[in-house]
Amino acid sequence: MNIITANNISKVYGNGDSAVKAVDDVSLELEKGEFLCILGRSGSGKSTLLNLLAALDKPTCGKLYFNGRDIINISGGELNKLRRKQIAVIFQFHHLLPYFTAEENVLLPCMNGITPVKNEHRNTARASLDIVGLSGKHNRLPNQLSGGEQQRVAIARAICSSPEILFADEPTGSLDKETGDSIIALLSELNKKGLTIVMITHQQDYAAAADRIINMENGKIKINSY
Amino acid sequence: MNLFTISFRNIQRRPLRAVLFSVVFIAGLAAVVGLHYVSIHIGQSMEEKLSRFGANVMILPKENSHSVSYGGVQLGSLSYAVTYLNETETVYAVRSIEFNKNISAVAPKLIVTGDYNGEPVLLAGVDWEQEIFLNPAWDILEEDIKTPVYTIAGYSVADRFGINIGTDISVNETALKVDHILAENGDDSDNLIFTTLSNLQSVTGSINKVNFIEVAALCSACPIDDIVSQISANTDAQVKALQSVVKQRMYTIGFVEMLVWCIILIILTASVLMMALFMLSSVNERKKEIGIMRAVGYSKPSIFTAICAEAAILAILSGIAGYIAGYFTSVKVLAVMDIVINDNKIPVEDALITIGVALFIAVAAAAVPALKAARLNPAEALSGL
Ligand SMILES: Nc1ncnc2c1ncn2[C@@H]1O[C@H](COP(=O)(O)OP(=O)(O)O)[C@@H](O)[C@H]1O
Ligand SMILES: [Mg+2]
Repeated sequence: MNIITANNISKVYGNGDSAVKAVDDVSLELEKGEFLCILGRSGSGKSTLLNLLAALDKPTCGKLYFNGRDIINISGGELNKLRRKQIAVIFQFHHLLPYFTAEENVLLPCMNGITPVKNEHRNTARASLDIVGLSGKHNRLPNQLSGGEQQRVAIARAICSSPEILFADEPTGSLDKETGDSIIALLSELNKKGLTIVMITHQQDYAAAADRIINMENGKIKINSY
Repeated sequence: MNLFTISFRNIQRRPLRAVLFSVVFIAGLAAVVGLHYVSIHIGQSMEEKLSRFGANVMILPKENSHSVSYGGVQLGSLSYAVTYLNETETVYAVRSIEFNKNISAVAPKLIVTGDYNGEPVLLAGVDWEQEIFLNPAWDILEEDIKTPVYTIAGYSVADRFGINIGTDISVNETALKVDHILAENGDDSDNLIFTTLSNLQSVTGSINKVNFIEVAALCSACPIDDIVSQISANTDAQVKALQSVVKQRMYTIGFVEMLVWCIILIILTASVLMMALFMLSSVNERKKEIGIMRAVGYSKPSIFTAICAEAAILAILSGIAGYIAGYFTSVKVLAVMDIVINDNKIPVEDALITIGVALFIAVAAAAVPALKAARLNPAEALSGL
């Protein structure tokens, strides 16, 4: 079964003469466990498409399903639940909270309420940090970690809730080659364990890790190759 | 750790800014609290001082005359007989009302015609202690009255008849020696001769009788009408408020209070604006973090709450500090101004009200930035730039 089905989705920014069609009538199907890579020039609409698929933004028109369920006409509460449990995102910049330790940053999704964070959550957070290779660094603040390590914390935060799908928008964009490689290796590993991944990258060679590559141009999918 | 941990850490993150902000907020609250206390006490003390410049309630025997007018021209009153008030009963009636703390002077008077060298002069028998309290402008103090019977002559009457210290005024064949001549005051006292009430009562055979009683009442704490009705309930006499005197006094005090409230309002408005700007800049600088929070499933109410809680934490701390600072400032200021405070227990209720007001200001001011944060579109908040 498809984890994501997009039917003719478009996203238009602005209106009138200044309107920009960032995503133009895109249809896409994504199977569970797939690793999809999105390539394309800057400004071709990659991020916009990813935000739509990740339910961070709503398309101007078209239909979008997650596990067969309409996620456009969905209540705010349901959407929050989806983001909390099933859909995870990471970005070029890690966006860690600077005054929280690595572990506390991983726990961020669990702090969403009056009830205090439970011990089992802390254990899961430690386990996620172990998975991304940061055992023993859980008490460090972001500024005490390298760029690659910070991105790993962001990944740990993303996978802590055992999501079904991870969206990554240029996760290696601000890292050097070697560190970038290790992040891609980590994502491949997570994919092998069953996590569906959609990743945007600028580097052709990172696309090798993916099962499928789509190439975007002017908001449309030009090449869709396996 | 929970949602409020995020609010707390955000305050810790920029300690200097939080401290600077709090100091300004505390100063504002302290000014409000201090001004309020000072104005209350100044109002009271001002009224106490004002009340010495004349009575504002008059007690007269029941109407025994009726005024006659014809075509709008006053022709005077037709009196049938002079009636008197019972001095002890009426004074007691005034002193025993529920609001007796507001009665600052009760001055009974007996008016009698006397004789000086064959010319009629008007004498007023007075209770010296009360009379001198009501006439602070007189060039005589209570301590100056050393003899059991003391007589002073008003400036104009002394001038017109050539009355000097030591000359005798006769009443019912009894001589009263003048002990003092008043300086010119420009009011009724210039034309009267004042003498000890009890002596005048005995020489005229009107024991315990007075013509009227002047009362000075403080009315900042209760309306004059209440005082009048409470006195009326205790006596058959007529009780009249000298409304123009009351109004003039309350206007002066009300003006001071209004001025203080204006200043308080300005300070509070400035605090709201400052808080709103502070929170707005805090939200703008954290857009990405808020975007991430939304992306990991924080609801709009959660974001709103976290931002408002940040303002609320600062408000509670500033409220406590501001109240304490304001209270002690007012005590110091009042001491410098030589105003005595009757009750010096720290009012806990006032402190709670101050904290409540600070909380209200903070949350009202934080609401707009918090709403802005809650409404952030996560995709836009997180986009490249
Ligand atoms: N929030 C926005 N408002 C207006 N225009 C936008 C916004 N986000 C992106 N765009 C425009 O949409 C187009 C696609 O942008 P984007 O999806 O970020 O491209 P990419 O990620 O491939 O570089 C660009 O022309 C960009 O200027
Ligand atoms: Mg992009």
